[in-house]
Amino acid sequence: MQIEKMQVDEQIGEIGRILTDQEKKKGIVIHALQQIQADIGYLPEDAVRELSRHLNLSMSEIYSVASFYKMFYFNPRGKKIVKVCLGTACYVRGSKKVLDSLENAFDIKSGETTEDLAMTLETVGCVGCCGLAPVTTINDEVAGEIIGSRKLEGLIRSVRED
Amino acid sequence: MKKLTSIDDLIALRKQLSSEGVLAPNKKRIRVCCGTACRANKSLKLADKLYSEAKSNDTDVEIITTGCQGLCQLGPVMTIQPKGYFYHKVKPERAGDVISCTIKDEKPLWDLLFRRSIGEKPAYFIRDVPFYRKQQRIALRNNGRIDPTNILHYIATGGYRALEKALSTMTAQQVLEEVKKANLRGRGGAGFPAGVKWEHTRKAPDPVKLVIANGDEGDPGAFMDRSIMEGDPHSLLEGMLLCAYAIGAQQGIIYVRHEYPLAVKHLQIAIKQAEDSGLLGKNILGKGLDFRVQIKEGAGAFVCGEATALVASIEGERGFPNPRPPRLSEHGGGPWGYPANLNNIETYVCVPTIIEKGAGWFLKTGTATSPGTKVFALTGKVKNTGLVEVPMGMTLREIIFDIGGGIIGNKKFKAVQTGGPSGGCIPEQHLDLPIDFDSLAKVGSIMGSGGMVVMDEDNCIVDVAKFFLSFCQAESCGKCYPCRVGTYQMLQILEKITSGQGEEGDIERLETLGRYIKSSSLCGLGKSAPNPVLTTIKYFREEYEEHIRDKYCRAFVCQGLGQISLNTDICYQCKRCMDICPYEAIRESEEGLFYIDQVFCQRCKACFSVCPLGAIEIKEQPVLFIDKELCYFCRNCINICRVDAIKETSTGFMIDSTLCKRCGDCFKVCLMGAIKYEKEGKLLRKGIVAPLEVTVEKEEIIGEITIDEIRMDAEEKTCSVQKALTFLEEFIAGPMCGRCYPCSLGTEEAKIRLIRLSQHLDYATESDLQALKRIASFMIESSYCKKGRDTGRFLAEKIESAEEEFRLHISGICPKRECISSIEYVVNPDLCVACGACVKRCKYDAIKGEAAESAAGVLPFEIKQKVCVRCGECVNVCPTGAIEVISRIKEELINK
Repeated sequence: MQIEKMQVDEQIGEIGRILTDQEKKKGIVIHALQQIQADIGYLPEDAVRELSRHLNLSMSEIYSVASFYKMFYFNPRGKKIVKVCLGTACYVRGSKKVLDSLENAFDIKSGETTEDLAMTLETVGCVGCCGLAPVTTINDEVAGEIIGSRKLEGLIRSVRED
Repeated sequence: MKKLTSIDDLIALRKQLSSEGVLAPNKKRIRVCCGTACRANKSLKLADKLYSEAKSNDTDVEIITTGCQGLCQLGPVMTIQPKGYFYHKVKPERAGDVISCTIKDEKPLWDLLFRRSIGEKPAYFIRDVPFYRKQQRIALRNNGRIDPTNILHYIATGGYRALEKALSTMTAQQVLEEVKKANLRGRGGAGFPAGVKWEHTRKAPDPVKLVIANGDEGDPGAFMDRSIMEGDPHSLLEGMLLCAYAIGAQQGIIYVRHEYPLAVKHLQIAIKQAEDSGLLGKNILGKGLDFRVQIKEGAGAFVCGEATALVASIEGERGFPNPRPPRLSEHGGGPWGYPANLNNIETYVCVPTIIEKGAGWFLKTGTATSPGTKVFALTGKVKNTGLVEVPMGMTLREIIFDIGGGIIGNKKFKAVQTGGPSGGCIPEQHLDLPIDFDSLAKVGSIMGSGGMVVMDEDNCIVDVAKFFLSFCQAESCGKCYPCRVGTYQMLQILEKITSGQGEEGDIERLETLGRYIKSSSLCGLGKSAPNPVLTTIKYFREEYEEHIRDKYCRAFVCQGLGQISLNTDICYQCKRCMDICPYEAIRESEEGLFYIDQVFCQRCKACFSVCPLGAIEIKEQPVLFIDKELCYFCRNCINICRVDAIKETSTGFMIDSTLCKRCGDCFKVCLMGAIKYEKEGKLLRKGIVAPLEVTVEKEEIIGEITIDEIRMDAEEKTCSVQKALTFLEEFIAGPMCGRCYPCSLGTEEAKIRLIRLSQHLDYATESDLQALKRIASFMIESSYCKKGRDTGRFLAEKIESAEEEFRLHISGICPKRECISSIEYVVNPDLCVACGACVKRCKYDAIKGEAAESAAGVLPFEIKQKVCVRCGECVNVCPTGAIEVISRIKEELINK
């Protein structure tokens, strides 16, 4: 999406009829940020600066909104988001091993993204599939019972391939 | 689709639809649940398969992909018209059976019908399933019946009839009065009467007003609103339209959680369809009502479910709540200062039925103060989890035990948590409480949006309270201190209690803090955040006290309490605990016994649940102290302590009990015996005997031997007894599964009898042969699988074809000279050249003789029969064939 081509009136929709220009601009900030993130995958500073210029809102104002909501990220995110569950049930059944081997296989630490932006490795409290422990989710798809080296290799392979 | 410009158009359309037979009850139709839960169980693939199967079979059947049908646990579920069969757990592979059997032949598929247990009769129809029997569906009336992406389905089932009635026969004031009379209370939590709210908004002087639907459903475990938005979006639009008509609003906003992409998609489709058909937009149905709806997506903040925070989020600000007044319904309260009416999704969905059937009809269900029904998301330790809608006033017991089917594993019920993280825990003594807004408030909980988490005796109540509080703490927006700092402090105290560091007075501190937070927080989230803790203290105080005083968690959930110890009297060192321990805390001592290194043990209890003998026990934590009278400061204990728990003070050494892991190392090294146990850890829970799990990884069996291969191996032998024996041995080692007795016991027995025959053991008699015949015939008759029958057949064949050979074995003769105990190896002196090859090869030193250049003048080789095991190696290496195999018995007989 090209930020300078963004039409405020078009984005705000019907409700814009009853709003002032400033309210309209402010009103589409979250929507615009969502679109930027859907395009780029995160909110780079340049894009936020461009949006700030386009909407004539200060950068701090936009950042104050973006930093409040959990779904906005300021660092690039990988194509695949791999989350290793470290909840009690999973930990007990060896999810730490899963995390370690993923860290080794992709040479990143938990919370980081690979250089080619193929994947982001994260940990999560409990995904609620304790019956399948240890659980790892790849883009919200659950891979459970990752016990043994063969399953682990399979997991790493499935993360690697597109 | 044609635009509807008047009420008559809508009536005509509905008539036309009914004459076309849209959703007619006598047509063949499959309703496949495609709610989020069932989609996760491949219901979309199932629907696709059904389409293609129906097409290839040339069957006339309508397949509807509906919203959530409720019984999420047994998904994908489907109902099939005209008979009305209800199927659960339908895999995509069964699509063909459903089409051919149920649709074509109109017969039910027995294995897909719901059964409570194996022995019981199946429930054919949805009304027979206990989960649905007590439900009454008002808000979910169309969920599971119509295709949510098809407005015609909604109109055909009587949709927009309430709008039609309101616009043609009622004034705005009358609509408002009807909702007020129905005493419809807000389904989002607090239960404020919707009619009163509407009236406030109507009275606001502003010309511009808004209708907002709150679909920011953030409670963990709640999915009522999602199901409605996904499964019946037009009902929501109609409810909002009626509200707009009653209060004079022009613009509607649906605020949806970002995490609900399917709901957003279905709502967008519904809005587009309604606009195209003239049910949204300008001059709706020619009655001069202007109303448009748009969707606002949230961005992941729980607090945005609170009214003022939601307004801030709509305006594009940080989602901070604001003090009220002004209320949303007043001038300056709603988004951009316009008065707005905010209701929960479920509230709006109830409105069309109230208008259509009248307030009197609505008042008939539910209780006097809370009429109507309520949707609950039933989760936790109940057998049937899913979405239930019940009349208000139903007791918790009915919901949990009749609809939910009771507790999993028939454990003991402990508490039910209602209202999500802002609600409270209700104990067993209140199970017969009829649920409505007021009764729940009386016992300290709230209705909330309708989450219902059931807990059993394996749940630790302190841990549960900690979980809910940590959710609220993480989601606190941080605007006001009581909530931001208070929830953090409460969480720290709970953390302390659950990790075994609790102190006297902690419970009181929690209560005081909770009261402060409740009374002084700005928004509803903060005001209700301490609820789970406060109600659990109220009803389960003794459990908190146990955690603090006895360092004991009766559910054995909290990790910091108690001490895991290994009873070496029971342990037989199978190493299962060692393999499972994620912290490598189980070690082997110098004496070869196992012990648990307390420094590494995190009390996860993985070993406890895996020990097959019950050798792992949970004990109370012991307390160690240093007797200052005896201590002479040798520093041995300080040197050995791995956690630096022994401190040097001006008055001597002492053990810091907060650091001490109770490993007992210092106790062992103290030369003076100055370190003593103040309290020995007493046994809290005996070890449980865990079942041995046999995990067979199927992929690892490389190329299982088939019966044909075994037959080939067996046929290589020459002696019939050996053939049969080889066959059975390989069969037992390979393909035999052991499932049915004729095969598993029969083969073993036959093997024993054959060994007797082949080795000519003393007790081999005619009866063995008879037994073999009998076993063979039994196996042929009653084995479960072909493999077993084939084995029996092989045995029978061999006995039949060579019965005489078998009989000879009884008297110790193997005609083919293969059965080793019936034969002897002898050296034929005429042929032996005394090369010595056999002597070199024989591993058992059974051959006597000296190797020589030429055979002349040398004693012939001899085989010591007592040492010879008849391995046959010497026969193979002998260059002249001098070693002969003879039948022992026969020779003896001849000699006699």
